Amino acid sequence: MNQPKHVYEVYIRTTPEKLWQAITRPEMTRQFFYGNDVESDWKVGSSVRHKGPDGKLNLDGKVLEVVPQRKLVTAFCAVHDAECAKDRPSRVTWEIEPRGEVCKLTLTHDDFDGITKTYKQVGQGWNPVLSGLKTLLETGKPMVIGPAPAAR
Amino acid sequence: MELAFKALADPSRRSLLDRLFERDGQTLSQLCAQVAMTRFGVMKHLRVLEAAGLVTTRRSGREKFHYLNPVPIRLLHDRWITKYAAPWAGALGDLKGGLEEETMSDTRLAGVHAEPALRHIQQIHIRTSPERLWEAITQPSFTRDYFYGTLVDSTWRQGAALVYRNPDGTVAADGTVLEAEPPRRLVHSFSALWDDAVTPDPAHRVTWTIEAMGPVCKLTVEHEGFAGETATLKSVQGGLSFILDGLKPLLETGQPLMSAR
Repeated sequence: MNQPKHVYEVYIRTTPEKLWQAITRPEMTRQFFYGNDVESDWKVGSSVRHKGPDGKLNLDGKVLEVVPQRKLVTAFCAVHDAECAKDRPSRVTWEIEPRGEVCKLTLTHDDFDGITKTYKQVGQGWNPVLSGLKTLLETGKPMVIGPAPAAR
Repeated sequence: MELAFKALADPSRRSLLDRLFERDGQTLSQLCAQVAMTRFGVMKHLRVLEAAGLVTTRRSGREKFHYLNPVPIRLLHDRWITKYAAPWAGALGDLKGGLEEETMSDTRLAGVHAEPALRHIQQIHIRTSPERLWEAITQPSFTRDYFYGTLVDSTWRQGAALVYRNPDGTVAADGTVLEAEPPRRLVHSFSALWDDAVTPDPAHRVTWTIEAMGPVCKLTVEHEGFAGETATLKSVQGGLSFILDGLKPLLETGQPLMSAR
């Protein structure tokens, strides 16, 4: 109990099919996941790799559980950051619940070894991803976030 | 852009750009004196940089001066770096806030920390302008489409009352404007009155913060100052996602999250 974790809930006007495709296909992920292409055959035990536009491996993981259009559980290692790469792989769970014309997406990131660098970093990292995913599915266009305003 | 990428791919050429960045307008001889390359090598690299538009030259008598042209690099930055890297970079920038980082980790998070947090913070990125977002937060014609059908009413001046009314005229929540700085920041007290469970709870504080990030706004909504694990806190934890996820498509597509029943 009380292990550190991040939980995000997003309501998106879309179908479970489209939401599943958005999470599992590179031509979709590159439009909302920091430009990363996802690569996996989505079988339990297979690798899941998120690669940047330059081909650099940013996230390295493994499929732990797959229930198409409902649930996806993967191991998560942020290898793009030297310090995060040292953390034991954590766990990311995507759960899709259809609610009429809307889907409720719950993303849970847990199984950290305490308050790790990865834990701290992803706390901010998932928000733009989920906002971008919602925009892409609802408008058909990616959301390009500009630079943060200069500190005042 | 292709040429600029190729030109920048070579460390010797990047080193020449660094020399010009330090001091603009140098001759071939001046540049040769600073790098471990033959005169012919420097000439060859300068030609590539010039073809890529990264260096411009100007003749003055027998001398030819080389100038850095940062425009293609700026374009590369805007087209590639901002788009792909800035969100992570921005995220890391936010984390540098020290104490801020634990606060921000509470985002969209409902009571899963070791100690129950008596506040609820949520953040969402919306493709809109600060002005329109401010309007959507403060005008009843917007709130009825995302704020559980309620119509907000206030002059939005400091000290003014605010009320969220149900379509049948009953009051769902009310409060007082504490700070209003359009279109950046709004702070108000908030008394939940929508059912018998929440009505006895004392008022808490709500802060709306709007930050422009290029064509997108980052909206942070913080509910804090709860008297404990009250019914209002639980209700806010369960309901704020739904409100903000309804606000976003309203601004981005003009349509509410769900069609009217």
